[in-house]
Amino acid sequence: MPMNRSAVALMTVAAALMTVAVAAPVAAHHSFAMFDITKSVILKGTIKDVHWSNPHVWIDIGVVTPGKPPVMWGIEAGATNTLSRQGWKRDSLKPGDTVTLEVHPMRNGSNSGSMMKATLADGTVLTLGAQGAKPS
Amino acid sequence: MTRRLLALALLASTAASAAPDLSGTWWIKDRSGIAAVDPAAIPFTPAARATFDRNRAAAAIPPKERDCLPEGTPRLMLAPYPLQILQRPEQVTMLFEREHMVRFVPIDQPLPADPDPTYLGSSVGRWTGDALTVDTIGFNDITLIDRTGIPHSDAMRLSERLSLRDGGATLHDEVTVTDAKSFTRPWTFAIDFARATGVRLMEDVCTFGPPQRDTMDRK
Repeated sequence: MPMNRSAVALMTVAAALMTVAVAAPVAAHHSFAMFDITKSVILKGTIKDVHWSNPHVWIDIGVVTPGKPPVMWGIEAGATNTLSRQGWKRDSLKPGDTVTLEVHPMRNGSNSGSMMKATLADGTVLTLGAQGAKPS
Repeated sequence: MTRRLLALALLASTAASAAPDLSGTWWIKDRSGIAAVDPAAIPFTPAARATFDRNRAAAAIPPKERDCLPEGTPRLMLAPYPLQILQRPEQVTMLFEREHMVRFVPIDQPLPADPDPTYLGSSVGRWTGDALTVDTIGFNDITLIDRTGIPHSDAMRLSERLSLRDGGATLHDEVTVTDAKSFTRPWTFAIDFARATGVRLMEDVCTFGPPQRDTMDRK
């Protein structure tokens, strides 16, 4: 389920310019998280690799900033079943695809994040809720 | 007269065996993977407190979640994945989508005397009124109670009381943790599951690194 992030989201369009200098206060129920769920970052670029496997799906993307060489980011998504139940397929993202991803960045500022949303070249939008689809 | 007595006896035996039917597919309501209990209320021993503080301060997903080892009981019960319960008179069986683990709960059997330590422990169950009471012993000490990092030792015993609520729409599991090496007294938390009619359990195999194709040439 998409979390209510509108009040706290920090939208940074040029991801390569982004530095997460200070981690926000850790929410009590998510102290395990290495991702800062109070922030989101937009990444535009080309998919390099998709690791559709458990425990978590990983996506490598070369993030493009005009006038600069691509910067590789590694994006962690949920378990394959979690993604499947929310409409993702193992080939929704393929190497070479141009996509826009929205992710929660790592607290430590490294080029990594957890998947929130993917917008494909044809406009298809795939979202990933925190803990899987609701039972019917 | 005899016939009436017989009918009464039949009624009585029906009532005595009227265990609720826990069968079905269930999905935890709070998908945080966290035992909903105030950490300040957990009666840690000093050593367990130090371990918990260390785990919590790690501010990262604990490595044990990453190496694909089973999560163990009770953490498996907190997994944000569906589970299915099969109920028979001699055994209640819990099938977990998470890691494809299975909890076997034989009914009205004695606990094993000295079981080898395992991830899920050894469980037995008995019907107590409208609840299934499940006692579990025989844990290894390498799992965590939840994803905040609450530790336990190999001395842990669990007593769970599973019952239906909301007219059968909710499965309620009250978990009492007893572990003299980690806690100064027993403590309890509860897990609520929503009935997930129509949800199909899926395969969930955890691999660390790229999966290796099965071959016959292993040494």
